[in-house]
Amino acid sequence: VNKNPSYLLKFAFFLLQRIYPRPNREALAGDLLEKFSEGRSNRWLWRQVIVALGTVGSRQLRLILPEICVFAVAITVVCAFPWGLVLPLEAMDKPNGTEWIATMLSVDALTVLLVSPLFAALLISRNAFTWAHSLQIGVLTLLLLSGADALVREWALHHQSSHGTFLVLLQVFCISAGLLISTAFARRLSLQREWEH
Amino acid sequence: LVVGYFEILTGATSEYYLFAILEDMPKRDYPGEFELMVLLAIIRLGGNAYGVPISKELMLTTGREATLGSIYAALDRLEQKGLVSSKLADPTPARGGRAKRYFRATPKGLKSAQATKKAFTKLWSGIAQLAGEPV
Repeated sequence: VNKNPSYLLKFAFFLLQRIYPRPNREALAGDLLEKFSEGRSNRWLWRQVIVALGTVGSRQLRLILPEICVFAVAITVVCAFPWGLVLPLEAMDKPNGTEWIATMLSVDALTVLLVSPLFAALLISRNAFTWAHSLQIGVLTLLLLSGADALVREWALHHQSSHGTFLVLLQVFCISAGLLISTAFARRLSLQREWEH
Repeated sequence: LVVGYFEILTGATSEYYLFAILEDMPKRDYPGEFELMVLLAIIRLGGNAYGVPISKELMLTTGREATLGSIYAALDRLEQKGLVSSKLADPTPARGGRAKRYFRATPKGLKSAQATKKAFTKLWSGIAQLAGEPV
């Protein structure tokens, strides 16, 4: 009879405690321990934990499916945008000082202008748009954008002969990903509050 | 680190977890196939319906060994549909200090099970290929 789970099994329980949603988390962990102490194998326990976490994961994926779709549309919009008409892409091949930074900042601004309406529409349509959420999304997006910018610029400084278009698209991707994460997060937060009330 | 950062930023330091079952209200309020099995197991068990007996009941009556994770997912959906209700019991040392969550069918759940039985009986009746005992 299994009485004391090994460290590996304790890790399985730790995952369950950390990832499985609150309403049934304790009950599920207790049930697993109860059946495990009746003589079930380690393999059985791991299978149970993996299936439980997989179930949660697939439900979460379905939950943010609209955000993923908007992300895909946003990426298509920014990829199809004629950047060459508004940005000196050829000059960006050889970045030099302030001019290059100003160009990249304009890319940021333009991308946010292009992509934000899509995410705002999503937030409103999914009833997750409040002033408090907007502030949280704003702060989060700003932080994510800063991170993405820093990464892209660092990369660009080490690859000075890179093509401007590629740089723009890379940055746009980072910004869109930041907006996607912020939007999905805001929606989750909104739903979590609804659930708690 | 990222989760911790989000926690600080949103002020949800102790209540926020990476995943949580948070879904819109389901569009339908009748049980699916597996949900119906779980609902019937709960009704059969009466006052002793929590995860372990439910899985044993399903094993005994259907021959299917369902994982506890899938049973809890079904229970969660049934609860959202208002077909079952639950309450936590006191924690017990035998379960590592973890409480059992007991489930019971609500009047709506009982009505739904009866309606499903009625519909299935009607569908079954008069089908020549399904007459008699299964082989």
